[in-house]
Amino acid sequence: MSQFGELVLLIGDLHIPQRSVDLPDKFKELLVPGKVQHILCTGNVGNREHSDWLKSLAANVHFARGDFDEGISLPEQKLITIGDWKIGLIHGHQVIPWGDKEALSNIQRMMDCDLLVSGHTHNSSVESYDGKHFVNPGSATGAYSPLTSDVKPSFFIVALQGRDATTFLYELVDGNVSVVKGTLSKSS
Amino acid sequence: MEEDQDKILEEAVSIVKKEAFQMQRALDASDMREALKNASSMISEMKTSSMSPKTYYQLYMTVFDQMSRLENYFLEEYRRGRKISDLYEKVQHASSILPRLYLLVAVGSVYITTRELPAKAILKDLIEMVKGIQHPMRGLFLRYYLNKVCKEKLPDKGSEYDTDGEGTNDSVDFLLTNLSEMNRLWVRMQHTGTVKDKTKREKERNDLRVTVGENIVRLSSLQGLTLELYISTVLPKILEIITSSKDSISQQYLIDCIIQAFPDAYHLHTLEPFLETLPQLQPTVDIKSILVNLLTRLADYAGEGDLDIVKSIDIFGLIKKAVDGIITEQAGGTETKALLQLQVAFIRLSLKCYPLNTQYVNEILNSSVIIVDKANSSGNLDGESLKLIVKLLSFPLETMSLAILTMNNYPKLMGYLQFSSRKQVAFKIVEAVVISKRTLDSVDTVEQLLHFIVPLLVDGNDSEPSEAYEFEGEQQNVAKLVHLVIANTPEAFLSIFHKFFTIFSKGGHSRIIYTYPSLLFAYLKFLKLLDDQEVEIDLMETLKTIHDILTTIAQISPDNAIKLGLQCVLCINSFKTNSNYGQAAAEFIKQIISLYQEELADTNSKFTTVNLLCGAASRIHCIDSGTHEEIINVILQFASRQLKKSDQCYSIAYCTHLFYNENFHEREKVAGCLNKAAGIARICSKNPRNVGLFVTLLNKFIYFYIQAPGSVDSDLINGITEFINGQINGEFDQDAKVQVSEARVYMKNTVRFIKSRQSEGRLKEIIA
Repeated sequence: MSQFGELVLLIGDLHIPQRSVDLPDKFKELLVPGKVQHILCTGNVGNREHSDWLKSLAANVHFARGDFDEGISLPEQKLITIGDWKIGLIHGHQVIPWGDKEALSNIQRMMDCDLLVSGHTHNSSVESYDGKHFVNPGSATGAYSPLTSDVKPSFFIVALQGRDATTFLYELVDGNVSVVKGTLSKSS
Repeated sequence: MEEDQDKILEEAVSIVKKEAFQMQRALDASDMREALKNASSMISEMKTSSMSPKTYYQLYMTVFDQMSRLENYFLEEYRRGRKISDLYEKVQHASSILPRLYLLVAVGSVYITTRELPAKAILKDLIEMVKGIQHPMRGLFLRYYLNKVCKEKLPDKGSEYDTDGEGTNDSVDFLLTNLSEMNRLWVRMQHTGTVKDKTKREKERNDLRVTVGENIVRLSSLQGLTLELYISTVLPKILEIITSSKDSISQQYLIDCIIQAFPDAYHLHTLEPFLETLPQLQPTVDIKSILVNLLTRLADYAGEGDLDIVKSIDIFGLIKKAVDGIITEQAGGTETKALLQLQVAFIRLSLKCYPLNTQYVNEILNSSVIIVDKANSSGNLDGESLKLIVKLLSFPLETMSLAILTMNNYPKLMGYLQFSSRKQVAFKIVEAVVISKRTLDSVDTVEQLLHFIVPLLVDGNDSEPSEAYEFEGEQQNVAKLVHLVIANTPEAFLSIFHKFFTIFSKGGHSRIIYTYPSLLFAYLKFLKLLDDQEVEIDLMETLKTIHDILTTIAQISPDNAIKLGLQCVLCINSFKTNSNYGQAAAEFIKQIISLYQEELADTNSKFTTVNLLCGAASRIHCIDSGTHEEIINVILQFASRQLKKSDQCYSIAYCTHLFYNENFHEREKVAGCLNKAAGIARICSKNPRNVGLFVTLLNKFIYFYIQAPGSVDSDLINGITEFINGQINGEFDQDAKVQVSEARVYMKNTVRFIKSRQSEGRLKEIIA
């Protein structure tokens, strides 16, 4: 495990049972306890059982408040430091315009993070802008969103090693898991 | 009595040990004659009639150990040249019959090893000779001894003693004969002694049963025992021994031995003869527990192996006949629980052998209904029985889930359960359907399903409240069902949704809070699907239903209704094909606005709602411009009326996006908003904790300076920058420290951002 550095799962917008029944079986086979050290959840899990499930997968689990998270008090945003990396976590419905690069960039400046993780759009992406990095894990269940057509179930695993990071986007495409790799570096 | 037995044993054992010692001395001195005398005396202790089987067994074990030494000596004697046939003859001179026979068996077992005569011949002689002991207990132990010493010496296939290839048959003969004789002795024990000793006798018989069962164990371990031999000879003969004894203790035990000892595959092949034997047994034999034992083993076996045999033998038919016979006889009596246990074992087997056969399951449920109905009429339906009914209804769900809807006996059986059990079964049904992810594609299926799970959906006459956690889990699972709906036509979709809507609406607020939101999203997904597939139909009915759903939710949670309402608006907004529903979208927004005005009281709620309204409304393009302008102005008002000044400032800043976005470009309004926000921020600036507000505003100003050139003046920006720089440097109170340091970092990053743009040649008028 140490050869990969610290592993972080980025996941969110499950919306179970309001918009989805469950995560894809192939995702459930991959997401087992002990695989990652940290979990950052963008919010909108939808029910207690799945929040508990996420908490059982790793020692360090962080949640941000999604617009449909109620009855539980969760932070609007959170800054998590892992090794050399400062990672910001926010659901993203607060950031207007939704999914806008400049608006998210502003949040990055405010939180002073190297990597900003946000959700809400159900559209997975990883982008670098002005030397900082932005990841959206999408919806782990492929839940409906009026903002995105054809939502595919997705999540990210990020491996942090020193000042480098490798991102793995897991997506369910036509019933199979596709993994797309990328690399990021913390700017000086 | 106990102490007597201990004393008697102690005495006997001490004599045995004394004689054994003498015997060993004689053997050491090669005095065979003397040794045999001592052996005889030793064995004679087993002539006793005053020991219980348990005590006798202990004596037997002590003697058995000594006999082993003697056997070894006999073998050595043979190797030294003594003729074994001489020895075989010599031991028959012992004066008393019991020692004589034990010694004969000992020599006989050695005789077999010498291979001077075929094993078959010796065994035949021995089995004949031991008839000499007709006393039940002593006879059983003698024959048990015979089995033990000849254990490795049976002429089984592949053994060195199989001289003519017929070895297995000879061994089978031997063992069956021994079994028959031992059973006879054992049964005879039942009839000796007085009536009042019956309990004691039966207990003693029980203690001795292993000696008889040993024969069956030996038979099952024969290497040469094939399925054919089992079917043709072994099983029929054992069954004959069992039925002819007419003794229920023997029958119960030996049938059980058969089931335990022989392979499950053999049992599947011999189901017919086996089942036919059962009605011939004594009435006091517990056939139900025998069957439960057998069926359970077969189900476990069927779960692991391949099942070609299932195709060649009608296992279901055979068992059903046997089971139905028992039910006809015993239903309505006191055996309800046992009958249901039998049904449970049967259904398990059926599911393992015929995993997709719903008709078979329905038939088993049918006979279960008969049992339960009769029990109910005679008042014999207790809690244990009800638990078994729940099991009967739960097992099929694992492999069949929705297929249970085709079984007419399923709801009939469910009807006998009390509310909490019905709910338990209903929950298992929902769970099975959700886990299997079966698509719900027909109105009939859904109607049936909802009928089956009604205890979860509405309060009934005998309802009991659930514990909160449990209730939430139940309702969330029910809510998932709507997402399994995939129909072929829009009409079918809508009919199915309508079924759900109808039943959900009867669930009361406690359920609606879970079920309605899911149904709403199911509708939205459906509408999007239609739009994607370019299906143009009239959506007004559906939109009206959605509106009603929102209205109901609003009565329970206005907050939730607002959020869900916004989703509906955004959905309509995303239509490409059905693009003339702007009016409907406007209606939804008006509903949201009035909810905000009338129902929201919480300050925090209002703040987060204004933020959501801005985020959503800034994307809307499907509403006519007049209404659109009205709505935007209302939202701006909401923003301005936030309770906290800082909230006002942020909210008005959000509103800028209402005026300038993909669809609208009202630069002047943007400037107006930002100036207003700046004014409020200035008022807030008295509190040093609010310095962050200014940095946020600065970033907003810069955002629009770049995105919407001409909307913001550079002087304004520079003014703010100067103001901020004046505020964030210097000393501050402890309680503002965190906010100020955060603001400093934010500002630093903002300055860096400005400078990086300037290095590209932009933002020239800005002073960073």
